[in-house]
Amino acid sequence: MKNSITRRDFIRTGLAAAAGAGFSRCAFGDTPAAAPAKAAAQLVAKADAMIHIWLPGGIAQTDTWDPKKYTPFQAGMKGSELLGTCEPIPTSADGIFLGKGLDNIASVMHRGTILRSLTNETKFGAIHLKAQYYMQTGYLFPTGVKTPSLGAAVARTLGRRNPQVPAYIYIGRDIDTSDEEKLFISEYLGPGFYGVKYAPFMIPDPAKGLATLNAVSGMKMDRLDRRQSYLRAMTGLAEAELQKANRVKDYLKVMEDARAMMDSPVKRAFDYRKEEKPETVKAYEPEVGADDLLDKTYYYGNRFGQGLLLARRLVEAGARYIQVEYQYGPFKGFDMHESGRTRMIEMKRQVDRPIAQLIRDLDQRGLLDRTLVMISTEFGRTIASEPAAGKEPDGFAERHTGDKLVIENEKMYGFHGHFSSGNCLAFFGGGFKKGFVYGKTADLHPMLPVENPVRLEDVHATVYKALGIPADTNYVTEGRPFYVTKDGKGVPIDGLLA
Amino acid sequence: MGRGIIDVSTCGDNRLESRRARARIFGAFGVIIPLATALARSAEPAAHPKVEIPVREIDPAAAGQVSYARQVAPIFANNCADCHSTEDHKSGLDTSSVPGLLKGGKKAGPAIVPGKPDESPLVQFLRGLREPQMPKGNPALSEEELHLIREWILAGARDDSASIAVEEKAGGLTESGTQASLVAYDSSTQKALNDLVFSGNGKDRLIAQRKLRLALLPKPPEPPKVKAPAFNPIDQFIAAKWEQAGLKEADAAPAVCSDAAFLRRVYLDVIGVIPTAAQARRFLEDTTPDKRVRLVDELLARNEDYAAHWTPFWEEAIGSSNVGITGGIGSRGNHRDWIFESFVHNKPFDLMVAELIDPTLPGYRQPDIGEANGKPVVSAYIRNETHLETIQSAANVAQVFMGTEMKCASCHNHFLNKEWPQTRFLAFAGMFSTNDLEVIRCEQKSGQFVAARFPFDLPGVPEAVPKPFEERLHRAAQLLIDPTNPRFAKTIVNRLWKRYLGLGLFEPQDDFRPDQPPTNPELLAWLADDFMRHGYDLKHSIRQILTSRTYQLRFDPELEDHFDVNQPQQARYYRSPSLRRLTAEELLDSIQVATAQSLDAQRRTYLSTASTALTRALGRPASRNEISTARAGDVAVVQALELLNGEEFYERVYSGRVVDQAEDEKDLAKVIDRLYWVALSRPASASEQELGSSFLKASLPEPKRAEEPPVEQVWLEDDLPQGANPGGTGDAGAWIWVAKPDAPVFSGERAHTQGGKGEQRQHYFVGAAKPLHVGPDDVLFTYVYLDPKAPPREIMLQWNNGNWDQRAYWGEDLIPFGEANTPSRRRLGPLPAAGQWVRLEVPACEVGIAAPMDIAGWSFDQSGGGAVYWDKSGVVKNPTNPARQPLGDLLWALVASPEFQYIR
Repeated sequence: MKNSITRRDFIRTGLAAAAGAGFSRCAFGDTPAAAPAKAAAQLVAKADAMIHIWLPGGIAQTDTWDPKKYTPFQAGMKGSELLGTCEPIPTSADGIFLGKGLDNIASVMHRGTILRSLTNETKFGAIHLKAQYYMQTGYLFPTGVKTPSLGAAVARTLGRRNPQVPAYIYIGRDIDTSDEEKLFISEYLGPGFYGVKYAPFMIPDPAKGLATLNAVSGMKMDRLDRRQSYLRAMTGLAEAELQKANRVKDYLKVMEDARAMMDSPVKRAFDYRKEEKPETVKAYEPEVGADDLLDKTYYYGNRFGQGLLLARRLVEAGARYIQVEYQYGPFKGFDMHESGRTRMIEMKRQVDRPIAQLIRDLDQRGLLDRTLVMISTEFGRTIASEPAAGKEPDGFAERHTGDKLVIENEKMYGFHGHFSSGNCLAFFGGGFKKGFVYGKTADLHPMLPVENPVRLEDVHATVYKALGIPADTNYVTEGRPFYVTKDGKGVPIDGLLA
Repeated sequence: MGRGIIDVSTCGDNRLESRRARARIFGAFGVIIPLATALARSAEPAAHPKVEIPVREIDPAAAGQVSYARQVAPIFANNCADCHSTEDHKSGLDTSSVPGLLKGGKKAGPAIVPGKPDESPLVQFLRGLREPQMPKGNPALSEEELHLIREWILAGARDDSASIAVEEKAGGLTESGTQASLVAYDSSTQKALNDLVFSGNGKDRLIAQRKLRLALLPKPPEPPKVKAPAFNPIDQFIAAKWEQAGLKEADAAPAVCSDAAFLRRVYLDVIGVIPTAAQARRFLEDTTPDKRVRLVDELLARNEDYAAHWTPFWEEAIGSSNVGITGGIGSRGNHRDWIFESFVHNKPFDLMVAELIDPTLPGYRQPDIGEANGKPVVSAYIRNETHLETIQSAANVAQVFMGTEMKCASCHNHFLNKEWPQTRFLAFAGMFSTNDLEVIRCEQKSGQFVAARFPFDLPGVPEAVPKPFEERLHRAAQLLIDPTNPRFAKTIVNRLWKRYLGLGLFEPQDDFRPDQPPTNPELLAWLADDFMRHGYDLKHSIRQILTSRTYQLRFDPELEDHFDVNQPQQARYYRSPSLRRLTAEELLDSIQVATAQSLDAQRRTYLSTASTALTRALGRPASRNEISTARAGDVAVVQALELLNGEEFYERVYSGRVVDQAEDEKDLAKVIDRLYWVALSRPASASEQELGSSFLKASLPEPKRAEEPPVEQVWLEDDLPQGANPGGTGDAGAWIWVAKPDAPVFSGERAHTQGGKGEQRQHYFVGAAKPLHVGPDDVLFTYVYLDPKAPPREIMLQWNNGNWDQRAYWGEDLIPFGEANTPSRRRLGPLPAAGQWVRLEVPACEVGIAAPMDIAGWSFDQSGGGAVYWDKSGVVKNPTNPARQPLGDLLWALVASPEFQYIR
């Protein structure tokens, strides 16, 4: 036997193992059938579904998940003195405090875990898109490969829970666009090299549901069916050769599957306004409307809140992975480069009640234990490095102590610098600990993790573990394995799991 | 499987690295590359329990064919060199050369006895007949390896390295197995010419280089004589394989496809759209015998359409971006128009590729320097601001233009393809960098740098790579496109072959492996040679392929080839083309041709920078951050739902003129036939007629058409509709109501005009309590008066149904809302005459109202200054043609059918 594996050998055994999911590089010798069974024995899933609440822009962790001392505004105060623009408030979990404004989430804190010490060496500087790409895929852009996102990896590995519900659903983001940033984002949220089979089903506006599950406006169902059976019949008259081709059979099958989905009882999951009590729908509304915001043109509150309600209903109907986003916009929403205090108050009002209501609803329905809710953002925030708020030229802060910054006015009062070195995530349900904090950051700037710093690949590995997916799960592209955590090296953080 | 597996999770495993470090790799090019030896040596390996290797009889004739250099030396290199090389010879034995073997070692004396394999101690140790069994510490040799060694010894243990080296150095790649032969330049002339070629710059030099260097190529393979019918040499090479494999097709060649199938196939393959019904009819009714060849030529002569079809492919292959900088991230530059122009003028392919890389060429694609966050950001095809970007650029060049995947070798030795140790790749990547690159293995910097070097040794090329960066790039481009570069021409002709036949002569098309010969290497070599000798003219080679009999064979799923990555050696015979899915562009553009019965070059999908749910579902990437040379053609439910229920697809199919025209036709048979010609480029068969007819009859209401006359519904005249919220340029002052005698008025008491200031202005309202209900047969109208003393340059109307997506304009295209040449910005004509009231009419279909819609807002826009007055506005409700929907449905089914969606 040769002392090196030929490509053919690898492909034959590795690919076969990867056909479902390549679980481990050491599984070469196993038969393909054995590999999934072996992996299943190794990992017992604690969660069947996941709702990923994606709040991009870079949330100031000091005002939310990791509050420090409240240091009110005083004209002329130094940046190093600004430790928090709001008070820490106690929560339903002893000893855990959150930033004021997250009162609702605080009341369900006993059901979740906050990770305060996510850090990484890469400084993304001013470039949100690269940081978001990293959060969503676990890889640093550019990778040289069309990298699939977390949702696509879950969809491909675990497949659908209910055969009628798409495995990867995305709520709250516009689809049609020619804006280059949005196009970039839609690539990293997509299935990458997995292909269109694992692409997300997009629901920009929960109120409108999944548009293509309903016939086009003006099309009656009997007409649709007549058209469909005509298609079936005239295809049957096509050349025999065409009908025999496997690709053609697959094509016709998905057309039938698509038609069947339209009749699926799962469609009722989208009818939340008809089916839910008005108080429930109201509970998912943000506590602030478009007119109250500093920037009235940037409001996605209802899309976000109702998106969470829809996500809950879809989980009840058997969804696998749903991502709900408060849609990103440069300098909008959480991407604050001025007036941090005021804007944080607004944004907390946008997200606090809906998120808490989601947790409560899942809990009441007995779903929370088997549903993982993860709340994330692409990096944290710190004090800006330059007096000119929002115009820092050097890629934004990171390790400044803030001694040289003088906060002269309310506009400058807030956390306006990007902080890749310190980021927080929150986890509810899905096998994560309850009423728990993991990791600690410094109390003074730079507020780097001082206890239990963790890497993103390990966070991803933990999430995958909760779902029953090994961290070195991989799929082959261009003849080589591509792993769901960075190079397959993610190690689950057992301290986060119950 | 034990130690045979290379576990990349532990790269930096010293023992493994050291073993590889000692190995000397013999590529198929006679290049010996010593690997980094900076790593620690291994400890003495332990002996393994004896393995019995099967031994078989040697055929002396076969034994004489075994090549030491190509077959035997690599076995020693991979298995013995750790311990028995020139530097380190355990027991005094050096296996790295024949003299070394003959000399032997301390233990057993000469290792080989020429002519006597089984008396050779080497063989005895290998078989474990003498202990310890060799190789010690490595798995025993395979049966095949042992057999080769024994054969070689029996045949006399000759060393043929010298003659192999001459052959390969002079003739370049001889993977086809044909012998190289040199053209007779005397050596001093050749040297002078080479010097001339490699100094200086310019497009003419490139052509001269090509002319001169072509002389170094060996003769191409001779097209073999075959029994099967052949239109050109391609068919001969293909049929020869059938004969070799004893396939029945060698004697009974498969039939060519029907004219209808050929017509559709060649239109889509050359210009990316189906023919119009008239074009289809003309071809099918033509009885001249050479019509297929003439059609190929006719289509290839449609330069813009041909170029439009190629452009999206190359945009993705080179990662061309729509904009320079996205969110602060630089790109590879926007090359769309350059690609288009290059294909319109049929630029020689070598020149086109060189222009991406070589700054000394007049047509060089200059980097674009933008700015983000106060820092300059460079967008260029070759990106080299960081180590990572440099190696990715090099890997992209290798993948796309040399069909060679080197990505794995960026961070460690390519563990699947022995051709690419990391240093060899980094040497190549160094040609795209200002300085030699450092070896960074698995993210660990080694402090070791690799001299830049082209990975293939081409004849006459100096070893040293120039230091100045521009010259370095120039050299990289020269060597990339050089005729003696074994992979450049083969890669592109392989891509052409794959594009038109469905599967390449080597697969994957981006990953040529010397240890996996192409299926039909002779054809590949001939096509590459033919391509190069005709000036790297893509159209020439395309024509060769499209006029071959092989291209025209009938589609047969039983004969269709498949590529199985688990069995890459499986031969492909091309007895049938492979079924191919239309790309997103081909599909949408073909629907546009089908519904409009003309090809509007301005409406081709590749020109659109927008990405929609439909285009994404059909496989058009939203962004081209990562390069790609193929679309997947996957089917998925998300895609089927878009075809079934997507608004965009509906609008594209139902709002065309072809449905309008069909509505007037009373004879159902004619209608069905027309729609079949329009969509499938052929007549409907009798059973298709019958089926279509019963479908239409079931769908159509009473034959009597509604006799109501059109009804004009006025929506706004002297006041805004009830509940409407006004807005626009100048906010509260946007809407100005005027009356006689101060201003012209058409009807009623007042007209309205724009009250704000500026070049481009608008006044609009939204939120009307009673929306305007508009269907596809209706016509929106308004009355407009342009001030003759101050006319604008453009006027535009917009409608709101929740979104502003419907727009029509007259005059110049200044207002940038929506997408040009789509219903979201539809030009309906020049500015109307000034100084008089003009009625403007907008058919609802023109602005994308294919299904009934509720309009709740209307906007009146203008650009270029000037004064514009508006008056009565509303919609003319035409009786809904009851035939529209069923006809549209029939057309939808035709377009959604596999016959439309696939090329066969």
